[in-house]
This record gives sequence, C-alpha cells and structure tokens, in this order.
Amino acid sequence: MILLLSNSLDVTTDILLPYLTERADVFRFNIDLWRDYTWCLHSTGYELADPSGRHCCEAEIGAVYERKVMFNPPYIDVPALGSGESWLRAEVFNIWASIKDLAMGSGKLALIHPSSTGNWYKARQMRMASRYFPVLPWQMLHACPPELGPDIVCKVNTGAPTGTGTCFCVSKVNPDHLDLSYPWFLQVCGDSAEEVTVAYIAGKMFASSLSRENMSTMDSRRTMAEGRANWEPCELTPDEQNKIRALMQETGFSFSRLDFLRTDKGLTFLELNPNGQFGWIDIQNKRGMLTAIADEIMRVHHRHPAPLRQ
Amino acid sequence: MITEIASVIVTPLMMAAPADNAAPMPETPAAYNWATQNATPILSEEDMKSAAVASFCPIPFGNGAQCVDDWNIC
Repeated sequence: MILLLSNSLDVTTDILLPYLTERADVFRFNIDLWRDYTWCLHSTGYELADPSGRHCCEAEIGAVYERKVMFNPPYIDVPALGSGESWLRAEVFNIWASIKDLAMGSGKLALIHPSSTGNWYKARQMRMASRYFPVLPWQMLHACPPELGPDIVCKVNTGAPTGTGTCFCVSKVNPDHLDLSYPWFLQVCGDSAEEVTVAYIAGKMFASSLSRENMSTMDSRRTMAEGRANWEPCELTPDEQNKIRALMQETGFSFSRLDFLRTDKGLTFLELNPNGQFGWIDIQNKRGMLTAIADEIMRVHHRHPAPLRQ
Repeated sequence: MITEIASVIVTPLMMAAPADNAAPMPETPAAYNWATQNATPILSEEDMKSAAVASFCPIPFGNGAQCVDDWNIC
C-alpha cells in the first residue's frame, strides 16, 4: 500500500494516481477532507480508513508520498486568542506530520523528503546555484536603498497572503519609488525570451520551455492560470544536466522543480521548489515523467513488502 | 509658484493585485470520488487543457487564497 498525502483539489495528484494504482494499492489522505477519515495512531502502529471502506495499517504501507498537504482554504482568519478551526487544523496537521515523520524514520518516505543538509531557502539556493549557473544579482533588504540599477523586479519569499482577493506576482518596480520601511526582495530583471522549468526526479530530468513573448506580466504563473501558457518540451545540454545534478546533490533533495531563464549564454538560475507542482509538464506521460515519479515511489515501496495476511 | 509633485511611494503590498482574469474558485468544490480517489486519466484534448491549468495550482490562482507548501510557492 502507498500512503499518499495530499488534498482533494490537487489535480496533479489526480493525474499521477493511475500510474501508482496500476502497480500498488493506494490510500489517499486528503487533509482538506480530514473529517471524513478515521485514524488511530498508537505506540505500535496506526490504522486508517476512508468512507468507502478502504483501510490500511502501518505495517501494510510500503511507501509514503507527500504531494500537497493543504487545507481549503489554505489560510483562515485567526484571532489573537486562536479559534476552534485553527486549533483543529494545527492538531490534524501535526498528527499527519507525525505519520510522515514515522515514515521518514522507517525509510518509507518516498521522493519528497527533508534534506539532511538543512532548509534551502531562496538566499541559500541562489548562493549555491551561482557556482553552477549565472544568477541575476539580487538583494533582500530593509531600510536601505537597493543597488541593483534601474531595471529590477520585486519577488517574494513566501506564499503568505497580502489581503483578500489579491495575489503576489513578480513585478517590475522603480527602485527610486520604493518605500524602504518594508522588506523587499529585489532582483535584476532578466532579459530573456524564454523560461525553462525542469522537473528533477532522482537524477532524471524533464525540461519544458515557455516563450515570454506573449506574457502579459513578468510572472509566468499568471499566464499559466489564464490558460495561455504553452509549455513545450525542450532539451538540456549534457553540461546543463551535469550542473543540475551537482546542484541537486548539494541540496540533498531527490525531487525539485527548478526554474531558469534561457538566454544565448545558456540557463540563468531563478529558484528551485522541492515539492513544486508538475502535473502540466507531461500531462499525458508522453515523455515518461509520471512513470518516473511512480518508479521512484515504487522503489521505496518494494523495499518494504507488506506482511502476509494470516 | 513651484508645485512639488509627491514621489510615488511603492510598497510590496501594492504588487499584490486582484487577478481579474484568473478562474474564480468554485463555491462548492466538485465532490470527491472516494471510490476512485479522483484518479483522472487524461483522455481528450479538452481534458488536457483544463487539467494543465488546474494541475498548476490546486487552489484556483488569484482567488485570494495563496498557496502554501512546506518550502515555497508553486
């Protein structure tokens, strides 16, 4: 049995699931539907059940794969003294983080796992990546003026909401107009005709590119959300592949989605996301990406065969 | 008389803007299929286009609910 940790709205999970269920039984836990599940976690194991009658116990689980553990809505208003819902969410999240942690301890956590070399926040990513790829000059600053020149964009470090009905997109800014009483994450604006994203799956790479010519904003996510992004498969040179492999070895992650800009000088590193979305990259598995992900999960699963039922 | 023009002062919060063209979040998410666990074989071209957008973000982008994951956005 594969235990898949996700949410019921995650279409990437929906797309990946057939490539797992054809090879093993899967128990999908959707944290946004936690009230519909039954679970008992105790000193010697745990038992899980969903409303369809599907059930499993810890001993039967050969691999745990964390896809997207996210409530719906992801954020709620929480007063200073807390709220019932926030308390419930914290408890539920912690229990399922415990189950993931138990899997980590028993070697059952597949493909998506913490790095033994620590957290790789963006500043550390960019510093390390600069040994392999060009990285556009950047600053994260407060109460001091930027020194990146006139052509810059502002970015964010987190997904924290900024206010009802708004979302944060990468945007060009005039450095002379910035309110320096706020924290800023700024980077030189990359002059590139193309974005490249690479799904790295335990050494295998699946690269796709997106022309920036018709993008209405600097942020390709917006173009994607509007349904106007045409990501096309693209090739990486052997040198680029070797550099990505070396970069990933430094992070200690087995999976990432890496984002680049491509210029006539090659790839310029933007960031890596250790559990980024990937469903759209090879949605019909024509390149074998979904199979590659299933292979890695099954590799862990095969190491932990379920005990024979008496 | 010289009129001073106030400089534009930009804050990061001003970069957050309503995503007018993004798909609105459904008020009632489609019912989850407990039997199939929502496994979705992609068959038609139309399936593929809508799934590509939906798979990019589990929560429709721009509805005010920012994505979270353990480490990063999207």
